[in-house]
Amino acid sequence: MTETVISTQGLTKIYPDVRAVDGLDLSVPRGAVYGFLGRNGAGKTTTIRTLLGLSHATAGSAQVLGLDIRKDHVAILQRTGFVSETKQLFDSLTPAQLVRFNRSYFPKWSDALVERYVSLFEIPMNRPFGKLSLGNRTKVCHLLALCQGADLLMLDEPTSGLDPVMMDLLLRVLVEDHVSEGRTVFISSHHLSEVERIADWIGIIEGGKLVLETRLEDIRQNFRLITASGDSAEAVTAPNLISKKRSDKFHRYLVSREAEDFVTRLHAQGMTILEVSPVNLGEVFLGLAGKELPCIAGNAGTTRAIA
Amino acid sequence: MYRWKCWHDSRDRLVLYAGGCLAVGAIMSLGLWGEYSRYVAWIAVSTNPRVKLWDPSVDIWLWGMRVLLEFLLPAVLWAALAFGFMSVGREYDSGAMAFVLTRPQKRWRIVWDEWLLAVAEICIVLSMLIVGMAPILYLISKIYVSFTGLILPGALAVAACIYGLTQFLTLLTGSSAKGLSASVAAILFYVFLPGALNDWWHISWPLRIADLSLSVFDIGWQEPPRSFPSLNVGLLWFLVALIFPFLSQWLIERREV
Repeated sequence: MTETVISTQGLTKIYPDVRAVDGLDLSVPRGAVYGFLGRNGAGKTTTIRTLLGLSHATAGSAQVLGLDIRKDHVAILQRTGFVSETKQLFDSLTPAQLVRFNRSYFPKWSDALVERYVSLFEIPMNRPFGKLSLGNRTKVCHLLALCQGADLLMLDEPTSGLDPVMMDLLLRVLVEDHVSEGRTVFISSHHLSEVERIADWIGIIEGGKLVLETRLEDIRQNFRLITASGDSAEAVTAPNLISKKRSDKFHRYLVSREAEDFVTRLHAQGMTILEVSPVNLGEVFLGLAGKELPCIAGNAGTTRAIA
Repeated sequence: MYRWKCWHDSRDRLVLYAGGCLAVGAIMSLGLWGEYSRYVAWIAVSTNPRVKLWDPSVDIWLWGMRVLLEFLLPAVLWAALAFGFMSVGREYDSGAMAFVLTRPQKRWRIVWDEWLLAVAEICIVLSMLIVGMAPILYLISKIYVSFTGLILPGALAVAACIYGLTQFLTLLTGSSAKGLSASVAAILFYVFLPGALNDWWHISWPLRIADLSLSVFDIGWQEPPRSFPSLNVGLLWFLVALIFPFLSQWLIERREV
Protein backbone atom coordinates (compact mmCIF):
# COMPACT_ATOMS: atom_id res chain seq x y z
CA MET A 1 0.00 0.00 0.00
CA THR A 2 1.31 3.44 -0.92
CA GLU A 3 2.02 5.63 2.06
CA THR A 4 0.04 8.86 2.02
CA VAL A 5 1.62 12.14 2.98
CA ILE A 6 -1.58 14.17 2.98
CA SER A 7 -4.85 12.54 3.80
CA THR A 8 -8.14 14.29 4.46
CA GLN A 9 -11.50 12.84 5.39
CA GLY A 10 -14.51 15.04 4.81
CA LEU A 11 -12.45 18.16 5.44
CA THR A 12 -14.78 21.13 5.56
CA LYS A 13 -14.17 24.82 6.08
CA ILE A 14 -17.15 27.12 6.28
CA TYR A 15 -16.81 30.90 6.47
CA PRO A 16 -19.84 32.99 7.39
CA ASP A 17 -20.49 33.77 3.75
CA VAL A 18 -19.13 30.76 1.90
CA ARG A 19 -18.51 27.03 2.14
CA ALA A 20 -14.87 27.23 1.02
CA VAL A 21 -13.99 23.54 1.40
CA ASP A 22 -16.78 21.03 1.37
CA GLY A 23 -16.15 17.47 2.47
CA LEU A 24 -12.74 17.12 0.86
CA ASP A 25 -11.19 13.66 0.67
CA LEU A 26 -7.62 14.04 -0.52
CA SER A 27 -4.96 11.39 -0.67
CA VAL A 28 -1.47 12.44 -1.65
CA PRO A 29 1.05 9.59 -1.94
CA ARG A 30 4.62 9.94 -0.68
CA GLY A 31 7.14 10.96 -3.32
CA ALA A 32 4.51 12.33 -5.68
CA VAL A 33 4.26 15.67 -7.37
CA TYR A 34 0.61 16.38 -6.75
CA GLY A 35 -1.02 19.12 -8.79
CA PHE A 36 -3.95 20.58 -6.90
CA LEU A 37 -5.97 22.40 -9.51
CA GLY A 38 -8.99 24.59 -9.38
CA ARG A 39 -10.42 27.86 -10.51
CA ASN A 40 -10.08 31.07 -8.52
CA GLY A 41 -11.98 30.63 -5.29
CA ALA A 42 -12.36 26.88 -5.72
CA GLY A 43 -10.88 26.24 -2.27
CA LYS A 44 -7.23 25.45 -3.05
CA THR A 45 -5.66 28.04 -0.79
CA THR A 46 -8.15 27.44 2.00
CA THR A 47 -7.32 23.74 1.87
CA ILE A 48 -3.60 24.45 2.19
CA ARG A 49 -4.16 26.96 4.98
CA THR A 50 -6.29 24.47 6.84
CA LEU A 51 -3.69 21.74 6.45
CA LEU A 52 -1.01 24.08 7.82
CA GLY A 53 -3.07 25.33 10.75
CA LEU A 54 -3.57 28.84 9.40
CA SER A 55 -7.30 28.24 9.48
CA HIS A 56 -9.28 25.76 11.49
CA ALA A 57 -11.38 23.07 9.89
CA THR A 58 -15.10 23.34 10.57
CA ALA A 59 -15.54 19.59 10.17
CA GLY A 60 -13.68 16.51 9.04
CA SER A 61 -10.14 15.46 9.79
CA ALA A 62 -6.77 15.51 8.10
CA GLN A 63 -3.30 14.12 8.53
CA VAL A 64 -0.14 15.59 7.07
CA LEU A 65 2.96 13.36 7.19
CA GLY A 66 0.92 11.04 9.38
CA LEU A 67 0.33 13.80 11.95
CA ASP A 68 -3.03 15.20 12.95
CA ILE A 69 -3.45 18.81 11.79
CA ARG A 70 -5.28 19.82 14.96
CA LYS A 71 -2.83 18.37 17.46
CA ASP A 72 0.57 18.30 15.78
CA HIS A 73 0.73 21.42 13.69
CA VAL A 74 4.18 22.45 14.96
CA ALA A 75 5.61 19.04 14.04
CA ILE A 76 3.93 19.31 10.64
CA LEU A 77 5.43 22.76 10.05
CA GLN A 78 8.85 21.45 11.06
CA ARG A 79 8.76 19.03 8.12
CA THR A 80 6.83 21.11 5.60
CA GLY A 81 8.15 23.81 3.32
CA PHE A 82 5.45 26.31 2.44
CA VAL A 83 5.35 29.00 -0.22
CA SER A 84 2.27 31.14 0.16
CA GLU A 85 0.16 32.57 -2.59
CA THR A 86 1.04 36.13 -1.53
CA LYS A 87 4.85 35.61 -1.47
CA GLN A 88 5.08 38.00 1.44
CA LEU A 89 7.88 37.83 3.99
CA PHE A 90 9.37 40.52 6.25
CA ASP A 91 9.92 43.68 4.23
CA SER A 92 12.61 44.97 6.58
CA LEU A 93 14.91 41.96 6.25
CA THR A 94 17.23 41.16 3.36
CA PRO A 95 17.16 37.66 1.87
CA ALA A 96 20.43 36.96 3.72
CA GLN A 97 18.77 37.93 6.99
CA LEU A 98 15.68 35.93 6.11
CA VAL A 99 17.89 32.90 5.61
CA ARG A 100 19.44 33.51 9.02
CA PHE A 101 15.98 33.91 10.56
CA ASN A 102 14.56 30.80 8.91
CA ARG A 103 17.59 28.60 9.54
CA SER A 104 17.04 28.71 13.28
CA TYR A 105 13.71 26.87 12.97
CA PHE A 106 14.86 23.91 10.94
CA PRO A 107 17.43 21.37 12.16
CA LYS A 108 17.82 19.94 8.65
CA TRP A 109 18.54 23.33 7.10
CA SER A 110 21.15 23.15 4.33
CA ASP A 111 23.53 26.06 3.76
CA ALA A 112 24.96 24.20 0.78
CA LEU A 113 21.54 24.35 -0.88
CA VAL A 114 21.31 28.06 -0.04
CA GLU A 115 24.55 28.67 -1.92
CA ARG A 116 23.38 26.56 -4.82
CA TYR A 117 19.98 28.21 -5.21
CA VAL A 118 21.19 31.76 -4.62
CA SER A 119 23.56 31.29 -7.50
CA LEU A 120 21.09 29.37 -9.66
CA PHE A 121 18.14 31.73 -9.16
CA GLU A 122 20.34 34.86 -9.16
CA ILE A 123 18.87 36.14 -5.92
CA PRO A 124 20.05 39.56 -4.70
CA MET A 125 20.79 38.70 -1.08
CA ASN A 126 21.46 42.14 0.34
CA ARG A 127 18.47 44.19 -0.73
CA PRO A 128 15.55 44.45 1.70
CA PHE A 129 12.79 42.04 0.78
CA GLY A 130 10.30 44.91 0.54
CA LYS A 131 12.32 46.44 -2.29
CA LEU A 132 12.54 43.30 -4.40
CA SER A 133 10.49 42.69 -7.53
CA LEU A 134 7.68 40.12 -7.41
CA GLY A 135 9.86 37.63 -9.28
CA ASN A 136 12.72 37.99 -6.80
CA ARG A 137 10.32 37.76 -3.88
CA THR A 138 9.01 34.51 -5.29
CA LYS A 139 12.57 33.21 -5.62
CA VAL A 140 13.35 34.09 -1.99
CA CYS A 141 10.19 32.33 -0.81
CA HIS A 142 11.27 29.22 -2.70
CA LEU A 143 14.81 29.50 -1.40
CA LEU A 144 13.56 29.38 2.19
CA ALA A 145 11.20 26.47 1.50
CA LEU A 146 13.67 24.42 -0.52
CA CYS A 147 16.58 24.68 1.92
CA GLN A 148 14.83 23.63 5.09
CA GLY A 149 15.11 19.92 4.36
CA ALA A 150 11.36 19.46 4.29
CA ASP A 151 9.71 16.11 3.60
CA LEU A 152 6.78 17.91 2.00
CA LEU A 153 6.68 21.08 -0.05
CA MET A 154 3.36 22.89 -0.25
CA LEU A 155 3.54 25.50 -2.96
CA ASP A 156 0.62 27.81 -3.57
CA GLU A 157 0.87 29.35 -7.04
CA PRO A 158 4.63 28.72 -7.05
CA THR A 159 5.58 30.42 -10.29
CA SER A 160 3.76 33.73 -9.98
CA GLY A 161 6.06 36.54 -11.04
CA LEU A 162 8.73 34.26 -12.47
CA ASP A 163 9.95 34.67 -16.01
CA PRO A 164 9.87 31.56 -18.28
CA VAL A 165 13.55 30.82 -17.67
CA MET A 166 13.20 30.91 -13.90
CA MET A 167 9.93 29.02 -14.09
CA ASP A 168 11.66 26.27 -16.03
CA LEU A 169 14.55 26.25 -13.57
CA LEU A 170 12.27 26.04 -10.57
CA LEU A 171 10.28 23.14 -11.99
CA ARG A 172 13.50 21.28 -12.78
CA VAL A 173 14.84 21.90 -9.29
CA LEU A 174 11.63 20.60 -7.76
CA VAL A 175 11.81 17.39 -9.72
CA GLU A 176 15.57 16.78 -9.77
CA ASP A 177 16.52 17.92 -6.26
CA HIS A 178 13.47 17.07 -4.27
CA VAL A 179 11.17 14.50 -5.79
CA SER A 180 14.14 12.34 -6.78
CA GLU A 181 15.02 12.17 -3.06
CA GLY A 182 11.61 10.82 -2.14
CA ARG A 183 10.09 14.10 -1.03
CA THR A 184 6.56 15.08 -1.88
CA VAL A 185 5.59 18.25 -3.70
CA PHE A 186 2.03 19.54 -3.44
CA ILE A 187 1.42 22.31 -5.97
CA SER A 188 -1.70 24.40 -5.96
CA SER A 189 -2.14 26.22 -9.21
CA HIS A 190 -4.40 27.18 -12.02
CA HIS A 191 -1.50 27.23 -14.48
CA LEU A 192 -2.11 23.88 -16.08
CA SER A 193 0.97 23.80 -18.26
CA GLU A 194 3.42 23.95 -15.38
CA VAL A 195 1.50 21.34 -13.42
CA GLU A 196 1.19 19.07 -16.43
CA ARG A 197 4.93 19.27 -16.90
CA ILE A 198 5.97 17.90 -13.55
CA ALA A 199 2.96 16.42 -11.76
CA ASP A 200 2.27 12.73 -11.58
CA TRP A 201 -0.94 13.06 -9.58
CA ILE A 202 -3.77 15.48 -10.18
CA GLY A 203 -6.57 16.62 -7.91
CA ILE A 204 -9.20 19.01 -9.22
CA ILE A 205 -11.27 20.98 -6.77
CA GLU A 206 -14.43 22.82 -7.73
CA GLY A 207 -16.74 24.63 -5.35
CA GLY A 208 -14.80 23.22 -2.42
CA LYS A 209 -15.32 19.61 -3.52
CA LEU A 210 -12.75 17.29 -5.01
CA VAL A 211 -14.15 16.40 -8.41
CA LEU A 212 -11.24 14.36 -9.68
CA GLU A 213 -8.16 12.69 -8.22
CA THR A 214 -6.09 10.55 -10.53
CA ARG A 215 -2.66 9.91 -11.97
CA LEU A 216 -1.70 12.19 -14.84
CA GLU A 217 -0.58 9.11 -16.70
CA ASP A 218 -4.08 7.74 -16.35
CA ILE A 219 -5.48 10.86 -18.00
CA ARG A 220 -3.08 10.45 -20.91
CA GLN A 221 -3.72 6.74 -21.37
CA ASN A 222 -7.37 6.20 -20.51
CA PHE A 223 -9.27 9.46 -20.57
CA ARG A 224 -11.09 10.15 -23.82
CA LEU A 225 -13.16 12.99 -25.19
CA ILE A 226 -16.04 11.67 -27.27
CA THR A 227 -17.84 14.01 -29.64
CA ALA A 228 -21.22 12.81 -30.82
CA SER A 229 -24.40 14.13 -32.35
CA GLY A 230 -27.97 13.01 -31.88
CA ASP A 231 -31.04 13.69 -29.78
CA SER A 232 -31.05 11.16 -26.95
CA ALA A 233 -27.76 12.25 -25.44
CA GLU A 234 -29.12 13.66 -22.18
CA ALA A 235 -30.18 10.23 -21.02
CA VAL A 236 -26.70 8.73 -21.27
CA THR A 237 -25.06 8.05 -17.93
CA ALA A 238 -22.21 5.83 -16.84
CA PRO A 239 -19.87 5.51 -13.86
CA ASN A 240 -16.89 6.37 -16.02
CA LEU A 241 -18.53 9.51 -17.39
CA ILE A 242 -16.78 12.52 -15.86
CA SER A 243 -18.53 15.31 -17.64
CA LYS A 244 -20.86 15.96 -20.51
CA LYS A 245 -21.33 19.23 -22.30
CA ARG A 246 -23.58 20.29 -25.10
CA SER A 247 -22.55 22.79 -27.69
CA ASP A 248 -24.62 23.98 -30.61
CA LYS A 249 -25.00 20.69 -32.47
CA PHE A 250 -22.70 18.35 -30.60
CA HIS A 251 -22.44 16.52 -27.32
CA ARG A 252 -19.04 16.09 -25.73
CA TYR A 253 -18.42 13.37 -23.19
CA LEU A 254 -15.33 13.06 -21.06
CA VAL A 255 -14.84 9.50 -19.89
CA SER A 256 -12.16 8.24 -17.56
CA ARG A 257 -11.86 4.67 -18.88
CA GLU A 258 -13.43 2.08 -21.18
CA ALA A 259 -14.24 4.63 -23.86
CA GLU A 260 -15.12 1.83 -26.28
CA ASP A 261 -17.93 0.59 -24.02
CA PHE A 262 -19.27 4.10 -23.73
CA VAL A 263 -19.14 4.58 -27.49
CA THR A 264 -21.10 1.35 -27.89
CA ARG A 265 -23.77 2.65 -25.51
CA LEU A 266 -24.01 5.91 -27.45
CA HIS A 267 -24.40 3.96 -30.68
CA ALA A 268 -27.11 1.87 -29.08
CA GLN A 269 -29.02 5.06 -28.29
CA GLY A 270 -28.83 6.21 -31.87
CA MET A 271 -26.06 8.75 -31.42
CA THR A 272 -23.56 9.37 -34.17
CA ILE A 273 -19.96 9.30 -33.00
CA LEU A 274 -17.93 12.04 -34.64
CA GLU A 275 -14.65 11.74 -32.80
CA VAL A 276 -12.95 9.89 -29.98
CA SER A 277 -9.75 11.62 -28.97
CA PRO A 278 -7.19 11.47 -26.16
CA VAL A 279 -7.28 14.47 -23.84
CA ASN A 280 -4.77 16.65 -22.13
CA LEU A 281 -5.02 18.09 -18.65
CA GLY A 282 -6.48 21.34 -19.92
CA GLU A 283 -9.40 19.57 -21.54
CA VAL A 284 -10.07 17.54 -18.41
CA PHE A 285 -9.92 20.67 -16.29
CA LEU A 286 -12.29 22.56 -18.55
CA GLY A 287 -14.55 19.55 -18.74
CA LEU A 288 -14.87 19.55 -14.96
CA ALA A 289 -14.57 23.19 -14.07
CA GLY A 290 -15.34 25.02 -17.30
CA LYS A 291 -18.44 27.18 -17.55
CA GLU A 292 -20.98 27.50 -20.27
CA LEU A 293 -20.79 30.80 -22.08
CA PRO A 294 -23.98 32.66 -21.16
CA CYS A 295 -26.37 33.77 -23.91
CA ILE A 296 -26.07 37.33 -25.09
CA ALA A 297 -29.37 39.07 -25.88
CA GLY A 298 -30.14 38.77 -29.58
CA ASN A 299 -27.67 35.96 -29.91
CA ALA A 300 -29.75 33.20 -28.34
CA GLY A 301 -29.05 29.69 -29.52
CA THR A 302 -25.38 30.29 -30.24
CA THR A 303 -24.09 29.47 -26.77
CA ARG A 304 -21.14 27.11 -26.84
CA ALA A 305 -19.47 25.17 -24.12
CA ILE A 306 -15.89 26.31 -23.66
CA ALA A 307 -14.80 22.71 -23.75
CA MET B 1 13.59 33.03 16.00
CA TYR B 2 10.92 35.71 15.99
CA ARG B 3 12.63 37.43 18.92
CA TRP B 4 15.64 38.04 16.72
CA LYS B 5 13.45 39.61 14.05
CA CYS B 6 11.82 41.86 16.67
CA TRP B 7 15.26 42.86 17.91
CA HIS B 8 16.40 43.56 14.36
CA ASP B 9 13.39 45.79 13.74
CA SER B 10 13.46 47.62 17.06
CA ARG B 11 17.14 48.15 17.80
CA ASP B 12 17.44 51.40 15.85
CA ARG B 13 14.40 52.74 17.63
CA LEU B 14 15.82 51.59 20.94
CA VAL B 15 19.07 53.47 20.34
CA LEU B 16 17.18 56.57 19.24
CA TYR B 17 14.77 56.63 22.17
CA ALA B 18 17.41 55.68 24.73
CA GLY B 19 19.72 58.38 23.37
CA GLY B 20 16.87 60.89 23.48
CA CYS B 21 16.04 60.02 27.07
CA LEU B 22 19.69 60.18 28.05
CA ALA B 23 19.95 63.64 26.52
CA VAL B 24 16.73 64.82 28.18
CA GLY B 25 17.96 63.45 31.52
CA ALA B 26 21.30 65.21 31.11
CA ILE B 27 19.67 68.53 30.17
CA MET B 28 17.29 68.29 33.12
CA SER B 29 20.17 67.56 35.44
CA LEU B 30 22.06 70.63 34.23
CA GLY B 31 19.05 72.77 35.17
CA LEU B 32 18.89 71.01 38.49
CA TRP B 33 22.59 71.62 39.10
CA GLY B 34 22.17 75.31 38.30
CA GLU B 35 19.34 75.54 40.82
CA TYR B 36 21.33 73.66 43.43
CA SER B 37 24.40 75.87 42.90
CA ARG B 38 22.26 78.96 43.28
CA TYR B 39 20.89 77.71 46.59
CA VAL B 40 24.33 76.77 47.84
CA ALA B 41 25.68 80.21 46.89
CA TRP B 42 22.68 81.88 48.55
CA ILE B 43 23.26 79.89 51.73
CA ALA B 44 26.96 80.75 51.66
CA VAL B 45 26.35 84.49 51.58
CA SER B 46 23.31 84.43 53.85
CA THR B 47 23.69 85.87 57.33
CA ASN B 48 20.53 84.21 58.58
CA PRO B 49 21.64 81.41 60.95
CA ARG B 50 18.53 79.31 60.10
CA VAL B 51 19.40 79.47 56.44
CA LYS B 52 22.99 78.57 57.24
CA LEU B 53 21.75 75.37 58.88
CA TRP B 54 19.54 74.40 55.91
CA ASP B 55 20.79 71.56 53.71
CA PRO B 56 19.14 72.10 50.31
CA SER B 57 20.19 68.74 48.94
CA VAL B 58 17.03 66.83 50.00
CA ASP B 59 14.65 69.44 48.65
CA ILE B 60 16.59 69.92 45.42
CA TRP B 61 16.85 66.18 45.01
CA LEU B 62 13.10 65.73 45.54
CA TRP B 63 12.44 68.59 43.18
CA GLY B 64 14.67 66.85 40.65
CA MET B 65 12.66 63.66 41.16
CA ARG B 66 9.46 65.57 40.45
CA VAL B 67 10.94 66.97 37.27
CA LEU B 68 12.05 63.46 36.33
CA LEU B 69 8.54 62.12 36.90
CA GLU B 70 7.12 64.91 34.73
CA PHE B 71 9.18 63.52 31.87
CA LEU B 72 8.79 59.88 32.84
CA LEU B 73 5.04 59.77 32.24
CA PRO B 74 5.23 60.96 28.60
CA ALA B 75 8.29 58.76 28.10
CA VAL B 76 6.31 55.76 29.35
CA LEU B 77 3.41 56.56 27.04
CA TRP B 78 5.63 57.23 24.05
CA ALA B 79 7.86 54.17 24.45
CA ALA B 80 5.00 51.78 25.22
CA LEU B 81 2.83 52.97 22.34
CA ALA B 82 5.72 53.17 19.86
CA PHE B 83 6.96 49.66 20.64
CA GLY B 84 3.37 48.40 20.77
CA PHE B 85 2.67 49.89 17.37
CA MET B 86 5.49 47.78 15.93
CA SER B 87 4.37 44.57 17.63
CA VAL B 88 3.29 41.31 15.99
CA GLY B 89 -0.07 42.64 14.77
CA ARG B 90 1.73 44.69 12.15
CA GLU B 91 2.59 41.47 10.34
CA TYR B 92 -1.04 41.55 9.20
CA ASP B 93 -0.38 44.92 7.57
CA SER B 94 2.68 43.66 5.75
CA GLY B 95 1.02 40.38 4.79
CA ALA B 96 3.74 38.36 6.54
CA MET B 97 1.50 36.86 9.23
CA ALA B 98 1.13 33.60 7.29
CA PHE B 99 4.92 33.36 7.14
CA VAL B 100 5.21 34.00 10.90
CA LEU B 101 2.57 31.44 11.78
CA THR B 102 3.98 28.75 9.51
CA ARG B 103 7.35 28.77 11.28
CA PRO B 104 7.44 25.68 13.50
CA GLN B 105 7.01 27.17 16.94
CA LYS B 106 4.30 27.40 19.54
CA ARG B 107 2.35 30.55 18.90
CA TRP B 108 2.52 31.67 22.53
CA ARG B 109 6.27 32.07 22.07
CA ILE B 110 5.72 34.75 19.45
CA VAL B 111 3.73 36.85 21.90
CA TRP B 112 5.85 36.27 24.98
CA ASP B 113 9.23 36.58 23.26
CA GLU B 114 8.15 39.87 21.81
CA TRP B 115 6.61 41.08 25.07
CA LEU B 116 9.70 40.27 27.10
CA LEU B 117 12.01 41.92 24.58
CA ALA B 118 9.84 45.04 24.38
CA VAL B 119 9.60 45.37 28.17
CA ALA B 120 13.39 45.03 28.40
CA GLU B 121 13.83 47.68 25.73
CA ILE B 122 11.34 50.03 27.39
CA CYS B 123 13.19 49.47 30.67
CA ILE B 124 16.42 50.56 28.98
CA VAL B 125 14.74 53.64 27.48
CA LEU B 126 13.22 54.73 30.80
CA SER B 127 16.43 54.00 32.69
CA MET B 128 18.26 56.37 30.41
CA LEU B 129 16.26 59.27 31.83
CA ILE B 130 17.54 58.37 35.26
CA VAL B 131 21.05 57.61 34.03
CA GLY B 132 21.14 61.03 32.35
CA MET B 133 20.39 62.69 35.67
CA ALA B 134 22.37 60.35 37.89
CA PRO B 135 25.77 62.15 37.88
CA ILE B 136 24.25 65.44 39.00
CA LEU B 137 21.94 63.73 41.49
CA TYR B 138 25.03 62.02 42.85
CA LEU B 139 26.79 65.35 43.27
CA ILE B 140 23.75 66.79 45.01
CA SER B 141 23.33 63.88 47.37
CA LYS B 142 25.46 60.77 47.50
CA ILE B 143 23.01 59.21 49.92
CA TYR B 144 19.73 59.70 48.07
CA VAL B 145 20.95 58.88 44.59
CA SER B 146 20.60 55.20 45.38
CA PHE B 147 16.85 55.73 45.81
CA THR B 148 16.44 57.22 42.35
CA GLY B 149 15.82 53.85 40.76
CA LEU B 150 12.78 53.30 42.98
CA ILE B 151 10.63 55.35 40.66
CA LEU B 152 11.38 52.95 37.82
CA PRO B 153 9.45 49.74 38.72
CA GLY B 154 6.06 51.43 38.89
CA ALA B 155 6.64 53.35 35.67
CA LEU B 156 7.91 50.21 33.96
CA ALA B 157 4.86 48.25 35.08
CA VAL B 158 2.59 50.93 33.62
CA ALA B 159 4.62 50.86 30.39
CA ALA B 160 4.39 47.06 30.24
CA CYS B 161 0.64 47.35 30.70
CA ILE B 162 0.25 49.90 27.90
CA TYR B 163 2.57 47.94 25.63
CA GLY B 164 0.66 44.72 26.29
CA LEU B 165 -2.65 46.47 25.66
CA THR B 166 -1.38 47.84 22.35
CA GLN B 167 0.09 44.49 21.33
CA PHE B 168 -3.22 42.82 22.07
CA LEU B 169 -5.25 45.43 20.22
CA THR B 170 -3.02 45.30 17.12
CA LEU B 171 -3.57 41.54 17.08
CA LEU B 172 -7.28 41.90 17.69
CA THR B 173 -7.80 44.50 14.99
CA GLY B 174 -5.24 42.95 12.61
CA SER B 175 -3.68 46.34 12.05
CA SER B 176 -0.98 48.30 13.84
CA ALA B 177 -2.65 51.65 13.13
CA LYS B 178 -6.05 50.51 14.34
CA GLY B 179 -4.48 48.84 17.37
CA LEU B 180 -2.60 52.00 18.27
CA SER B 181 -5.71 54.14 17.88
CA ALA B 182 -7.74 51.78 20.04
CA SER B 183 -4.99 51.74 22.65
CA VAL B 184 -4.81 55.55 22.79
CA ALA B 185 -8.59 55.66 23.08
CA ALA B 186 -8.47 53.16 25.96
CA ILE B 187 -5.83 55.25 27.75
CA LEU B 188 -7.84 58.42 27.31
CA PHE B 189 -10.91 56.67 28.66
CA TYR B 190 -8.92 55.44 31.64
CA VAL B 191 -7.65 58.93 32.40
CA PHE B 192 -10.78 60.95 31.76
CA LEU B 193 -13.76 58.65 32.30
CA PRO B 194 -13.39 58.33 36.11
CA GLY B 195 -13.38 62.14 36.44
CA ALA B 196 -16.44 62.38 34.22
CA LEU B 197 -18.26 59.70 36.22
CA ASN B 198 -17.43 61.53 39.41
CA ASP B 199 -18.50 64.94 38.11
CA TRP B 200 -21.64 63.90 36.24
CA TRP B 201 -23.02 61.02 38.24
CA HIS B 202 -21.09 61.31 41.52
CA ILE B 203 -19.63 57.86 41.16
CA SER B 204 -16.34 58.37 42.91
CA TRP B 205 -14.74 54.95 43.22
CA PRO B 206 -13.37 54.84 39.65
CA LEU B 207 -11.66 58.16 40.27
CA ARG B 208 -10.17 56.91 43.52
CA ILE B 209 -8.83 53.82 41.76
CA ALA B 210 -7.44 55.90 38.88
CA ASP B 211 -5.79 58.34 41.28
CA LEU B 212 -4.28 55.52 43.28
CA SER B 213 -3.02 53.76 40.17
CA LEU B 214 -1.42 56.94 38.83
CA SER B 215 0.32 57.58 42.13
CA VAL B 216 3.30 55.71 40.68
CA PHE B 217 4.04 59.01 38.92
CA ASP B 218 3.83 61.04 42.12
CA ILE B 219 6.34 61.66 44.88
CA GLY B 220 5.94 63.19 48.33
CA TRP B 221 8.16 65.72 50.12
CA GLN B 222 9.23 63.38 52.91
CA GLU B 223 12.75 62.09 53.15
CA PRO B 224 13.40 59.16 50.80
CA PRO B 225 12.40 56.41 50.60
CA ARG B 226 9.15 57.45 52.33
CA SER B 227 8.55 60.00 49.59
CA PHE B 228 8.26 57.26 46.97
CA PRO B 229 4.97 55.73 45.96
CA SER B 230 4.19 52.34 47.37
CA LEU B 231 5.66 49.50 45.35
CA ASN B 232 2.36 47.66 45.87
CA VAL B 233 0.71 49.89 43.30
CA GLY B 234 3.52 49.07 40.86
CA LEU B 235 3.02 45.39 41.62
CA LEU B 236 -0.69 45.71 40.87
CA TRP B 237 0.13 47.40 37.58
CA PHE B 238 2.49 44.56 36.79
CA LEU B 239 -0.18 41.95 37.51
CA VAL B 240 -2.60 43.82 35.24
CA ALA B 241 0.17 44.07 32.64
CA LEU B 242 0.47 40.27 32.63
CA ILE B 243 -3.16 39.92 31.61
CA PHE B 244 -2.56 41.36 28.15
CA PRO B 245 0.09 38.96 26.84
CA PHE B 246 -2.10 36.12 28.08
CA LEU B 247 -5.00 37.63 26.12
CA SER B 248 -2.74 38.02 23.07
CA GLN B 249 -1.61 34.42 23.46
CA TRP B 250 -5.21 33.25 23.64
CA LEU B 251 -6.02 35.28 20.54
CA ILE B 252 -3.05 34.26 18.40
CA GLU B 253 -3.57 30.58 19.18
CA ARG B 254 -7.08 30.82 17.76
CA ARG B 255 -6.54 33.38 15.07
CA GLU B 256 -6.94 32.46 11.43
CA VAL B 257 -5.01 34.13 8.65
